[in-house]
Amino acid sequence: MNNTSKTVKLVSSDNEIFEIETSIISLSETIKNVLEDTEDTESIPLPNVEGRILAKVIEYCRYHSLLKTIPQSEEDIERWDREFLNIDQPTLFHLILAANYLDIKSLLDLTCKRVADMIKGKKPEEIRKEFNIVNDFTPEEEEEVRRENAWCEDP
Amino acid sequence: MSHGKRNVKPLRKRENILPILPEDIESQILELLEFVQDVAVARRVCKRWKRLVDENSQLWRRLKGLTLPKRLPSEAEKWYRKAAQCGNREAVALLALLYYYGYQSQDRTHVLSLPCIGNSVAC
Repeated sequence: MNNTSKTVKLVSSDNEIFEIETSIISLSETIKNVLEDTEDTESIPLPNVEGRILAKVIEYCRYHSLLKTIPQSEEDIERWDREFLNIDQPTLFHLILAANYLDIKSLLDLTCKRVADMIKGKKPEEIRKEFNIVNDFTPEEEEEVRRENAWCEDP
Repeated sequence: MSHGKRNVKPLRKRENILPILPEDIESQILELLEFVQDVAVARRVCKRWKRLVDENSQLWRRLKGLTLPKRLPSEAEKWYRKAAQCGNREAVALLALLYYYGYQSQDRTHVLSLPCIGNSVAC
């Protein structure tokens, strides 16, 4: 038995099947725990993750576990991560949910950082538009927050 | 592969809608804003974000870019005090500066119990 190429099948919410080396997908604490608990697991259903998102997660795990054997420069990794996140916003948000559910900390950090970068430097109305957020402040409440903030905001 | 699954269509439709993130993740994202101007803007977006910012002590501890106020020192003082209480050493220094430059707090009792000057040496 060759343990290094042991694989497991992941089944997405839309029933796409991905066969992947356990050494790669163990970047996910959730899956790692399942594999440790039940030795002969052949397939793991992931009802919360769509196939197209799972494909992205696997792409991420594949590259980042490769780094353990073939180290790359910080610059190259950053470039790869940046290109990896060159995706539309709904996909980014689904990826955050998947990283959270699968407990892949580095992917969660990376995707959250991307959203934070999208917020930085914008005005409140631009942020609401970007993220489909409704302004639920009353005019009085809005005035109060504005007053609390005014000391550090440009007039 | 066509399995004739009846849930295929709704899934396609949903693709362009932004999924709702759990509050702890939203909070984590807001924490990553780090700089006071961006945090201030986030507080103005909606009630939930204002609450998530105000409740996140880690965010206040890490808050960067605090400066002496251009105006309204009484509001700046509230920010410094909150950040200082969460262990932000920059805020402690700014509070001290604010008083040094002659700012009179409306509520002196808080000032006398400045937190964390002694116990945050390790960070």
